[in-house]
Amino acid sequence: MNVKEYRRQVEAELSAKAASNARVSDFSAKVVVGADAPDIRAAVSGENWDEAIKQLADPKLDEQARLVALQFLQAGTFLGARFAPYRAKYLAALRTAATSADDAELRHSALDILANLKDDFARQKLMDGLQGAGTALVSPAVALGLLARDDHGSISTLARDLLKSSTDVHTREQAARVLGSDPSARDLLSELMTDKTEFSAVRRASAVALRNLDPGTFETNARSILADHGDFGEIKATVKGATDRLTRP
Amino acid sequence: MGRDLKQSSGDPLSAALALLASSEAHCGCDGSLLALLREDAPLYGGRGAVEAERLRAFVMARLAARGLADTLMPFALQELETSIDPYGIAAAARVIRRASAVPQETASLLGKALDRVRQIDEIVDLENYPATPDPAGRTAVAETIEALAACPNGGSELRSLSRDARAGGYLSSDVMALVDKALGRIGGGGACCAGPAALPISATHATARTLAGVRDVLLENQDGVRMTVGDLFGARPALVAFFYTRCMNPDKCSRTISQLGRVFDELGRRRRANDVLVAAISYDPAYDDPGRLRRYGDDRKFPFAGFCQLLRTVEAFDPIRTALQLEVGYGQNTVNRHRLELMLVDRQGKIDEIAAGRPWDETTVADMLLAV
Repeated sequence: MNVKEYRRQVEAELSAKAASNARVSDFSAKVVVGADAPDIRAAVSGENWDEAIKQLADPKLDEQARLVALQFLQAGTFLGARFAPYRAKYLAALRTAATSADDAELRHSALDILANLKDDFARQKLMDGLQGAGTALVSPAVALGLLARDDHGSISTLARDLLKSSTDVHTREQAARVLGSDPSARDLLSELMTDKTEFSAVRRASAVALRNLDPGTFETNARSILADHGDFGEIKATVKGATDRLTRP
Repeated sequence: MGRDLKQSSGDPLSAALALLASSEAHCGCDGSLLALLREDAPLYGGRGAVEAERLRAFVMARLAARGLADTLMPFALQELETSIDPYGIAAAARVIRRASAVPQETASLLGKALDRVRQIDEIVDLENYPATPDPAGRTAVAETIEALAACPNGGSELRSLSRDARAGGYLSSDVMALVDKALGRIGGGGACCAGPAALPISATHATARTLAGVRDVLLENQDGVRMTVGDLFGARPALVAFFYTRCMNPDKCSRTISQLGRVFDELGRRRRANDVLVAAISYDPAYDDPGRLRRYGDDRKFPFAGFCQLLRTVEAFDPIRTALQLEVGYGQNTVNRHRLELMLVDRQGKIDEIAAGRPWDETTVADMLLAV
């Protein structure tokens, strides 16, 4: 390739990037930033929300632009009743983004919002990914963490299975967190908390989960850990802090 | 009938789907079909709350489509009164649209449901389970508006909605067009054939249930004090409700406990607080320990006293659930669905049910309790 050719190629790449950045800054300019932002009402108009929803749902669009559209829309949700007419289409666009994006950050961002809303579509997709029934949209640990937000969800069985089978520290840690809403998991959490061969992060997550479910057993285990000169500093720090804050009825 | 699920044969969901898909228009199986809407129906067992809600909404819509809408009216009204899920409200709206006679209160209930659902609106799919909502599909708000158009006095609610929504800008242009179209169809009046008046909210009905078989079940109250069912009940008439502290619906358990407290306060004003017992028992005893019961009551100004308590069973809740035929279902961690349950218990442990799953009024219930 000669220099002229190379220059033309670089210029073409830079133009494409500038166009993408222009789309990004379209919405960036409209995101309300602080009380001094000019013309707030114009910035958060329904016309912009409609456009942002189209962009979020468009799998052909640059993913950075989609991400900015998502952030713009999510900011809009704080306006409550004003955003309400757009909510249904926003959710539909989030589901599309969660399942159509190549970009992991966009998928994760969309699923994060849907999980907070206890969206059943997102729940099913995350479960399919964990159980191998569909594409894993995020890592097992991230999927579990998102599903754990719903204490009325039903993933305890899956979490126990993963604790039996997974050797990944992040997955095990999130599985322990999930069990914090399952009263029948007390004994298991107690075992994990006191198991010196377990990952520290998993022991700490189990301790926090057990403290929520059964403060009495947590405290017994905590005292035992604190008194054990052979146990590790990280778990001691976690249980000491939690014990100090423990208030009993 | 929609997409079939990948379920193994013999499980409750497969059996339910097969029953719904039955090709016989009148199979004589209406009782079995209606049983699918019980809160404790096996097909909801083990599922998360949202998942169970969606499945039940699908079942309700399918039953309405096969001609059972009039029979489903009590279920639909309960959803309109308390559901905080767009699918539950949309399914109830479908029932209303298909019913041949609609109670007079329905338009007002739809209006209140619309107020709730427009904050949580989403596109719904009631044709398939699992739902696969089409981005171009109909929303729960749209379903509710269509149902309003089919109601007696629906026109009045729609006109009010149209006026308020235009002023407040809280409905999309698509939905406003739907409202205008519905008003155009209705014209000057509401739908014909106003149905029967609603069952009085605080009516009682006698049941065959008693506490006789569970007298030895051990309970524990918010202070950790233990007693048997037989110790607690039997000395005086009692008002009993059921709840759990993790209930996410403010119009169910939270409201029930607040109201129960106000009933006891009312009895105190009448100087009759020592003559009766007011109690609520948790559906979720493994989680609702005494500390949680106390905090839950305190947060709702529950007037804890010797005859006003929040309780849990020390062992499993099942014996009480079975003996009293409570409509409560469970996911893997906790309750996934439950009905509003309120009961009067006489000194012999015999039970009358109040309100049959509907919201109730404290003053009327206080009167009923004193009359036991």
